[in-house]
Amino acid sequence: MDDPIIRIEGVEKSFGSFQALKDIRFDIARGEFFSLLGASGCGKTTLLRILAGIEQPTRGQLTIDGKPMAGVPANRRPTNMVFQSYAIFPHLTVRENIGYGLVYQNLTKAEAKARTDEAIELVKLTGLDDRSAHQLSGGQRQRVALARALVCRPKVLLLDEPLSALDKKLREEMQQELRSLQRTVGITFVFVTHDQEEALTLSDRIAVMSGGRVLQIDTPEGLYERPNCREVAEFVGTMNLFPAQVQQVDGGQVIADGRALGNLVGRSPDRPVASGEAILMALRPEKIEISAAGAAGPNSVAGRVASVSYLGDRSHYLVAVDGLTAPVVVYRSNSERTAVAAGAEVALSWSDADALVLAR
Amino acid sequence: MTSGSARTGLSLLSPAFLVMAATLLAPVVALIVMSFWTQSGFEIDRTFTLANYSRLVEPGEGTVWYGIRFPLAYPVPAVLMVKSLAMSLVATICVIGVAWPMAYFLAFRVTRYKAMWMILLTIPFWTSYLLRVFSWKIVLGFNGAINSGLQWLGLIREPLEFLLYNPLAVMITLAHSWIAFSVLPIYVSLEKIDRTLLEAASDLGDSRWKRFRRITLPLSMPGTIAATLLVFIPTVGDYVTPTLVGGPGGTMIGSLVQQLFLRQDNAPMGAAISIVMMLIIAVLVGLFLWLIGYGRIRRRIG
Repeated sequence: MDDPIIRIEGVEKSFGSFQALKDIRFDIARGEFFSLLGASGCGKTTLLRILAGIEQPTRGQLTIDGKPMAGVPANRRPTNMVFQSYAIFPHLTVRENIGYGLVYQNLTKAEAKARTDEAIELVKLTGLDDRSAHQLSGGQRQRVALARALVCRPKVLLLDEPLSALDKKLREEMQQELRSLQRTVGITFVFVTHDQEEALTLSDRIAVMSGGRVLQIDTPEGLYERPNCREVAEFVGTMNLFPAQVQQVDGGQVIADGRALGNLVGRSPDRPVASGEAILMALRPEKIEISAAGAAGPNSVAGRVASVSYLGDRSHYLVAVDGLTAPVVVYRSNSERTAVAAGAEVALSWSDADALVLAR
Repeated sequence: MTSGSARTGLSLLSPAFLVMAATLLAPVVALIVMSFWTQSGFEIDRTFTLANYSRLVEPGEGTVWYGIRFPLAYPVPAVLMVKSLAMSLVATICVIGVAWPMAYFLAFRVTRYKAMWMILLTIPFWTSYLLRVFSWKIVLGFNGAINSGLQWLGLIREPLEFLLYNPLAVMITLAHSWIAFSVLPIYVSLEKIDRTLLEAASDLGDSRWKRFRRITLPLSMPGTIAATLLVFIPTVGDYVTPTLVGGPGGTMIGSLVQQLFLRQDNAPMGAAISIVMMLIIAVLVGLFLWLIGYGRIRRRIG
């Protein structure tokens, strides 16, 4: 990547004997909305704190805006952070909180006031200037934390699960606001979350982390459509996995033996696949067709509907298939009027291009 | 439900309330009543009179103490009140000055064995108050530790006499007795500070010192104020310490009250002085809290 805002080269972090980050290396582009996604304990927050300068890496190099960050303390970095707990200073008012970092910006009193006013307006807190932290709702605290960081005009804004403490409706509202805010101010956002839906909604690119490593970095679509391993496939959305053994690799196609499932044909991955290799055929639930019994040919298996969940716009089916331990998950739009009842014998089928080959 | 829980609350409070009434309220009421009486010899005259109070402010030739004129017919109580307040103030400032860093160390630097450090802090209290005061006599005395030490080192030939029996000795002893009491409230208020607030302050540009001044110090105020009052109020009226290490120059208002009650056979005057002292301290404390904006601090942090 040319001229990235953040360059991470071989960053590692250990706490005692526990290795929290292992050989992290990637770039983040200017103006990007970049998410670090992973379950708790995967190292995403540690990485964010290293970017902020609150933690120091045990090994490796970090460059922000072309400047190496080794030895640069948190208060001298061109980054600001929105903390998960918001960290609103309890002895200060909303206005004093938001203006906290401005004393270091060489502004006149009038300029500082104008900047604060602008930030208060940006996050829609007008009229709450004199409130103190305990007089604010969760959403309002979140806005104060956001304004307090943005008002310093950082090169990079770091957000540590800022929406996790809000209820569902407010969270979805704030997601939209965050996204449009990021476009307005044009600042690079690095966003930590464990919520894959949130990451997909907001981000330009996402790094999926697990066990202190980055598994895959891609656009939301890329992660969903082309996960590079089983862990990513299962973390982002739902994935059906059929164990199989490669029989033949033919151009863009992999033909595999799925035992009880018959022959399975899938799109070959970026990496080379050898004949005889044990693989997983991976299928998203919405890519599977469900029809009356009569399975025939490759990518077609017979099963029995174990349960149906009605979700309004779509229904989720769990289909038991002989030879598989877990039922196959199928999503089906309810715009198709033909209902399939629980207990029905059905055939599941899918197209070759929708089946992914993943390492076992 | 409400009346039930109110009754439970009252019954829970009542033992403490009874003890308070018996040991605090009753004596204070007795003191107030007595201050309007007079005494001659062993006889107490129970006629209501304001004579004791008017004697305290009766103009007269007066005296001069450290450049301050007290134009009163009976200036001793006034002088001792001012002197006691000044000595307590100095002792309190010393106590806070020593206790604050200790509390900070405990809250921020000690990560393991906190309980052990707390116990270490209370070790001086395992001996009685009197013994602790006496031990200062041994340290500061004519043949005491400091004098013998300096003589042994050959720095002085004759023992220094200015160490004991003066206001300085009283203030040192008072400060030492109260340090441990004041560490706790300060420690609690520091311990309560969310460490993320400090990270946020650094992230927003504060250096370590700025962060201390803008976040740690203001957030520790409730505990620091509590510690200040906890030391200042009781030390003003102390008479044990001045009696033991103060000598003639180190007497405080408490010593006078004790003498009026037990030696000069003028309990009503002693009572009047106690009441006036109580009122003065109450006003000073109120003024102090108002000046630092305690109400605002408590609303925000408390």
